[in-house]
Amino acid sequence: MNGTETLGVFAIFFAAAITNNILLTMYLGMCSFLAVSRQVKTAIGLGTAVVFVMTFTSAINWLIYEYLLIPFELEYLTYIVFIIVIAAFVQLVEMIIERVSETLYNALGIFLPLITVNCAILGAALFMIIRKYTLLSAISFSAGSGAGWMLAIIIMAGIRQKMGTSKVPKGLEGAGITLIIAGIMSMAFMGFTGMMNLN
Amino acid sequence: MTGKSKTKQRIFTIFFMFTVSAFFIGILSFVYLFTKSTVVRNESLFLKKSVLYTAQIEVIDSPVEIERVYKEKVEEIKDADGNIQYYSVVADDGATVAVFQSSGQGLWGVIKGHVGLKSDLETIAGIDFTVQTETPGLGARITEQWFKEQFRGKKGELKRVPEGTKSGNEDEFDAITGATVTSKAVESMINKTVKNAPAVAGKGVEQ
Amino acid sequence: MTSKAGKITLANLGRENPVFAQILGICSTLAVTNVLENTAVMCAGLIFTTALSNTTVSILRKWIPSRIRMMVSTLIIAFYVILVDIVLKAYLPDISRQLGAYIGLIITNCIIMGRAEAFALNNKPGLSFVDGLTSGLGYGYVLLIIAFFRELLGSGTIWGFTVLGDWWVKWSIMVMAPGAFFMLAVFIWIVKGLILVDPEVKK
Repeated sequence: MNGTETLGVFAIFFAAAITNNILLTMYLGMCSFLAVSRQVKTAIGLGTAVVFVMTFTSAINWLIYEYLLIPFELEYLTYIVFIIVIAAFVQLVEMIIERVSETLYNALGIFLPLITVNCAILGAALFMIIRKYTLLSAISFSAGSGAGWMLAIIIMAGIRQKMGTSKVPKGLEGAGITLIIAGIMSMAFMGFTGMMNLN
Repeated sequence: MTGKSKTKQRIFTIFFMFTVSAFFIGILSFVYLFTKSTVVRNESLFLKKSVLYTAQIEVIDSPVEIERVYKEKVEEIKDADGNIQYYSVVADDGATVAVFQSSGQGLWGVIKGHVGLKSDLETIAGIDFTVQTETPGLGARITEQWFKEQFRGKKGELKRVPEGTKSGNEDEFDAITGATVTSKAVESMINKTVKNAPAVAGKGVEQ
Repeated sequence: MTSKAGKITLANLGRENPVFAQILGICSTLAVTNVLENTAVMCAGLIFTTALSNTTVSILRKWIPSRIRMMVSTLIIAFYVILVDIVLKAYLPDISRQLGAYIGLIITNCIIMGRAEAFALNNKPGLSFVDGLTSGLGYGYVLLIIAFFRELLGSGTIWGFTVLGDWWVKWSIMVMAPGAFFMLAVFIWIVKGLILVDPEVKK
């Protein structure tokens, strides 16, 4: 692995986390983002889980795609295989957490199974296929995307916690104001476009 | 007793998952194989239509017509391995146009298309896009008529200018506002093709 | 039977609307609504998939082991989406090319999974079908309204036809991510603040 490739891997991580933030620029992973971003503590917990699931399932899916789907010309099954791998992995993680740490399991609660339908996870896996990343780049990309998602949700939770005593118009309470904050955050992150020249 | 029924449960769970998966994937595979030839034919027709459009050839949009005109006017120049290097097309005005396959990295994924150059290998006969997954309403607008048509007659390596300029300069083209990455990708795709054209087709396109 | 179906319909279209009441399916709401035509295609796909997946999950509900119910729902949803994708690729290739990018968004759309978990697993196929269909419709009309405004303000067009001439300075922000967030927030504000006013808080 030469010097330029190492730099490329870092660039991919940085781009995925900041400049092409999977949540604020590519709109993936919104549902849990809007629902769970009320407190920083839960946000960190969910964020970590997402990073973990994203990185590992993307790696597994990359291997399956490269060594199973392509050789047997089964690319049309990509979506279904990927999502099942993600669902199975989350199920596995849930079982392990339940056995290892009861407190963590209770803290995460319903959010764990919800990770399965987090479009960001499937989205990241599909992106790495479309962009034809190598395994290392794919791992860097998914980890970066997960980190970016986690960053966004923590920022959002921080803002919402701070806003706890602000007067929000009645109709905007909850989802409404969260969306507006997200819009402003997304505008802020747009400022990063063009920092990474992927051409 | 609980031990035995738990194992029974687990076995049933695994068995159920396998059966259900096999059932649905089976149906999908069947439908896929059944429609495969139609899909392949659609793809090939789409590519042929694109090559003709790039060379600015007027053709009625019917499968029969497209196939006929393509057969008549297009020659696929292949390399030793059978891959198409470029298309040598007889345009409506009788001149030869070399249509090259082109690809670039867009915002969301790979952009693929065709770039057609006249016999001087500098003047652009036309461009078209065959594969793109850019943002609809923004980057995806590169497939709109106005965007593609503006390239006909432009010359040499091109530069982007803001959308709406409608530049008359033969080396400038209107980018798309809000789709900088995509516009940049198109710019690099075209310039790359123009640069490499003599190496790929130099020998064949002399009139 | 009819009144039950009727109740479900009204709820899914109004008070329990998946988008503005349950806050589900937001990813696609934001991504797709900058072009009206794409929104229509996406909604058609979603209505079809939700209705059928709900029905199928409901039919199988008595056999699905509870541990893997998410995996099975996911499998069924992905199945229908890919089926639609394959059939479109073969017989309606132009529409398939439009919908292509959104296929993934339909599979992970929380609405479909949400309805499967909340309704289809505990109700009969007939009602589940109605629930799926009406949830899709509830999602659909919200998206079409948002898309109408986003496309109009952002590109000056409706369904691709230029409506606002060159005098209109396009609100490009409407076509991009932030515009989606703001538009949806405004929509929810209007609905929650003006229309769905709490019965106790009468003016």
